[in-house]
Amino acid sequence: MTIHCSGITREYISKTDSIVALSSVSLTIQSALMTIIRGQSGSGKSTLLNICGLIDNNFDGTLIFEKDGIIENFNKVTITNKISDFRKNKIGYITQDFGLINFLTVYDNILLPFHTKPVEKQLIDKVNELSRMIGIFHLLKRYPESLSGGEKQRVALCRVFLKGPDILLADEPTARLDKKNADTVIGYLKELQKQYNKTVVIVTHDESVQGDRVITLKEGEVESII
Amino acid sequence: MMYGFKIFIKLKRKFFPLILILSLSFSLLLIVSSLTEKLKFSINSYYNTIDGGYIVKKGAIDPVFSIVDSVIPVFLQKYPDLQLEPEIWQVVSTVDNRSPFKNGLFSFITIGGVHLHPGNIYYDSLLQGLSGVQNGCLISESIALRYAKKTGDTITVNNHELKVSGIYKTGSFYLDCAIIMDFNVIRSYISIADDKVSSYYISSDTIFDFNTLKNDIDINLPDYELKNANVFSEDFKGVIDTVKNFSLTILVIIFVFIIMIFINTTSIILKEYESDIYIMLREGWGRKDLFGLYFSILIAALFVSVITSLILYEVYSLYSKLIFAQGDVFPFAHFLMAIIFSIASLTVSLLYGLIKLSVKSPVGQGGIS
Repeated sequence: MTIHCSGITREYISKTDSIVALSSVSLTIQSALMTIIRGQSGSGKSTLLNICGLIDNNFDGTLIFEKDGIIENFNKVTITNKISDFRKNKIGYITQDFGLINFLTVYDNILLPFHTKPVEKQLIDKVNELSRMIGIFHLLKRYPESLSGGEKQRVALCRVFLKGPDILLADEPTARLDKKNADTVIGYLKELQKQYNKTVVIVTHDESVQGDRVITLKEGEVESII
Repeated sequence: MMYGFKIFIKLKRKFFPLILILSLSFSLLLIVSSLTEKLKFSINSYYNTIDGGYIVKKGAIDPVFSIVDSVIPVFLQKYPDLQLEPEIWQVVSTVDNRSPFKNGLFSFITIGGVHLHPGNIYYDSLLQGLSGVQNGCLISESIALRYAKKTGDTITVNNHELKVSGIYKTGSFYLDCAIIMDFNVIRSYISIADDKVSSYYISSDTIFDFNTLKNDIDINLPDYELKNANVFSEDFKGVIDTVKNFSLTILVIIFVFIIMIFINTTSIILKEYESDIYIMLREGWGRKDLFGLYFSILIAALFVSVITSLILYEVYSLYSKLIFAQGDVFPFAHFLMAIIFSIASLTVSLLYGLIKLSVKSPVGQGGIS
């Protein structure tokens, strides 16, 4: 799935101040490629990712998702049901804080997106298969608070794999991991992108993380696309 | 809703403190609600029981078992013009073949024989209907509601069939639990000696000062006491009203204060769980799913709270009966009203939390749709 950002502007307004996080950003994130977004702190990387993930819809401009000739348009007046349905079915999200609920077991955290409908046996089989593949099968009955950072991120990855979204957005996924775990997580993301032709977008400071394309932001604007 | 409940069950470890805090607040709310009613009843029953004075045997549940024949001659000697009206009261063991002795609105029901004439509290246009009806009786509105009776129906009291001649309204707790018959009719109805009565009341319109009256009588009353609302002076009546209103105001303030704590607690708890709810939203939960989760919390909190409150209520009733022999002043019907009121408060505060959460933005990010 391709993402077209057209004239995206995001301004944070407080009682005393207003900050322009993104200023008329127009770019295209190509389908089935791994795109890296870099930039200094405050350059608007996470804001762009949140907008692409439809977590933040309070922006000016238009966001277009395109797959097999089918186009979906989003802007600040798009109805919330359409946004939440699209996010639910098409987008996966990985964050540096792992996004796990501490009082749910690893198993239930993986199934969290599916607790809104009946959980079928096929899905449970898939959880077992994926957790074996990622190496967290033995952790399924444990709670996140007893896991290491690397294990937590693998649980988050397992959840995304299970969901099978068209777009995977990762916000500093390796920020809290050591080198070995960081390489493992990036390896899984690459596998997801290559094996299943998914669009992967990673926001990172880590220079060792390489993708098919690199977008660099500076002070809310696109500095370069390589 | 179903899936909200499912995730709630999985989250029970996390929500246990929430349920506990809500339950305690809720139970407190119920108890205060009921105490408000209790106070209202107590004041009414103490100050507004029956017009006219009467003398009761110490320790008796007045006026049920008050035998005062030894006092009356002294009383009449001092005030020869005083009009005293005898009453006969008997505790009812069965109404429509059912025992009225149960924990709730009626811990007892009495049947009373009174003289019905103008000046008597029982006398009004409704009560006039009693005269001329064979085995007629008057019942309170509460008894009418409980036993589904209307004027013209029959009611079986202590295996005697009586005809309901009228239904009266009263603010008095004792009269609320009473079935009234004509004094002369009740003599043939219950076994009591012709020269015995249960109690007397002053039926004249004179207002006496309680202490003056007691001193004027100047009799040794080791086993009896004079008890009456209307022997107080008019000035003192004003004081009673002030005390009554003040007490109720204090309770209302406490009540409002508890509701504020209640809403504040909910707000704090919601804030604590915000991050988890954002994760759920990010992973595809919609507002409907979130509402289901909230609804499950609400149901669980209500369930635990009602059970806790009922246990507290039973303990309180038992305590009242053992210590004060007054379990009846804590009416269950009003307790139920308090539950309904509190359920409404709980629902409103949780929905308020939900609405507040659904429009709030995550820190440093835009709003989650």
